[in-house]
Amino acid sequence: MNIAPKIWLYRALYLLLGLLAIAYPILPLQFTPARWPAPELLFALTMAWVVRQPESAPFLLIAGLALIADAVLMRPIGLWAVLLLMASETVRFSYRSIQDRGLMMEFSVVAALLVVMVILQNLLLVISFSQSLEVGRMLQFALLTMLCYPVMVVFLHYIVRVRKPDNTNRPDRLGKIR
Amino acid sequence: MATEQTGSAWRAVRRLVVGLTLFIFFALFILWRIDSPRVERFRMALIDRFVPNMEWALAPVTQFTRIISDYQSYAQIYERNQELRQELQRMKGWQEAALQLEQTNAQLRALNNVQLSPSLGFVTGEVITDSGSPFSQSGLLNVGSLDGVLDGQAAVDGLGLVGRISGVADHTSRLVFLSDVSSQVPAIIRPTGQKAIVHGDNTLTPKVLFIDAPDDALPGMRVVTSGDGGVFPPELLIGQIVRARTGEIRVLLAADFEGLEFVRILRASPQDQINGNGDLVGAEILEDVPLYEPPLVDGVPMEAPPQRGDDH
Repeated sequence: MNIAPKIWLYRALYLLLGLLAIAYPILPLQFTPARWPAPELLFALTMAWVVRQPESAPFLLIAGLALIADAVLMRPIGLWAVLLLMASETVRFSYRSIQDRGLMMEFSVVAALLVVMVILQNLLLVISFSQSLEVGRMLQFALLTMLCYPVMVVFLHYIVRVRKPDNTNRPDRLGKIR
Repeated sequence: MATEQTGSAWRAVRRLVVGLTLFIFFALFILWRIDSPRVERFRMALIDRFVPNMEWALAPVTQFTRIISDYQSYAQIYERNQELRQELQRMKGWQEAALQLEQTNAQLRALNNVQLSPSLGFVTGEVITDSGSPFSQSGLLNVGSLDGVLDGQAAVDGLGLVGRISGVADHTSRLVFLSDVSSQVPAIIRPTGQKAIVHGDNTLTPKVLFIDAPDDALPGMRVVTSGDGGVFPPELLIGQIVRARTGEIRVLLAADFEGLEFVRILRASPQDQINGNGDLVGAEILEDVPLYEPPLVDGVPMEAPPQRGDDH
C-alpha cells in the first residue's frame, strides 16, 4: 500500500518530463535554420526510464506522448511513435538483464536500438515515397541523441532519483542472495 | 495460484493493447501518406489542444534563454552603438529623399486620378513556437480561423515577406517560412522585371530559379512577389539578390528571421479574375474540334470559320 501512491507520483513525473522534452525543441528562440538537428530527448528519457523503472512509465503513457510529439514536431504522424513504442517494449522485455550488465551494456543496447529506428524510419519513408531525410543529417541526429543519453541517465539518477532497485538483497537467477 | 492466473490474464490484455496501439499508429502513418489533408487537420487539432496549454510552462524557459543571449549581446554594445549611429545618419538621408518623393508622388497622383488597388487588411499574430525539426522551417502562430486566417495567406514582418499560412485550427495556425523546402514563390526581380521562382532550401538564402537571363540578375537587385498564381498579393518585398560562391543566384531574405516575434497576416481581398477573351470576334472556337472540320455552332456545322483576311 505504501508503494502505490509513489508509482503514481513517478508516472506524473514522467508525463511532465516527457512534455518538457517535447516542448524543448519548439521554444521560439531562433527561426533561422539550425546547423544541428535537435536531439530526441523524449527517446533518451523513455529509454533511460524504462531500463530503471519500467512500471512507472506505462505503455499507454509513452504512446500518448509519442503521438503528441509526432504531431507537434511536424513529423510524419505515427511513424516515429511506432518505432519508439517498439524500442521501449524491447527494452522493457529485457530490462532486468540490461540492468545487471552495467552502464556500458545499457548504452550500447540503446545506441543499437536508435540506429535501427533511424534506418527503419528512412526505409519506411522511402517505401512510402515520402520525402526521405538526408543521411548526414540523420547521423548528426543519432550522434547528438546518444550524447544526450548519459546526461539523461545522470539527471534521472541524481536529480529525479529514478534508480534501479537495490541489487544487494535481490535473489539472482539461481536464487542466491548476494 | 489465483494471482498467477490474474497475472497471465493481465499480460494477455496488455499484449492485445500493445498490438492494437502499434497497429493504430502504423495505420495513422499510412493514412497520413494517403490522405494527407485530413491527417494534417487532425494534427492541427491536436496542436490546438496542447500547445497553447503548454505555453505557461514554455514562457519562463524562453525568457531565461533570451536573457542569456541578450547578455551576450551586451558585450558588443559599443560596436553595436557605433554601427547604429552610422546607420541612423544614412537613414536620415533616405528619410529626406523619401519625403521629397512622397510629395512628388502625391502631386502626380492628383494629376492622374489614379485608382489604387483595394488595400490589404491584416491581422497580427505572435509566433509561439518553432517547428523543432531540422527538416522543415515553420512556426506556430497564436491566431487561427476565428481571427479570419485562411490557408495560403501571406505573412510579413515589418520588412518583408516571411512565408505563407499552411494549416489552420481555431486558435492557432502554422506559418511555413520562405526557407522551407516546400516554399516556392513566384517573384519579379526589380528593376529588370525578370520573372523567377524563389525556392526555399533550409537556408536563409533561398535559391532563385527559372530566370531567363541569369547574367542580368545582379547582386543587390530587389526581389518582390509577382502575384502570379494568385496566392500572394503582388509587390511584397522578398529580399535582394546575392551570388553564392558557386555562382548560384540566391535571395537574401529581407524579413528579420533572427528576431521574429510578431508577424502580420495579410488578408488580401479577392480580386476580379479576367476569364476568357471577351466575345467580340464571333462565337468561341472549341478547342477539341480538329482543325480541318468546321466548328459546330448550335449543332450546325459552320460554313467557314471566321478568319481575319478571309475574302468573300
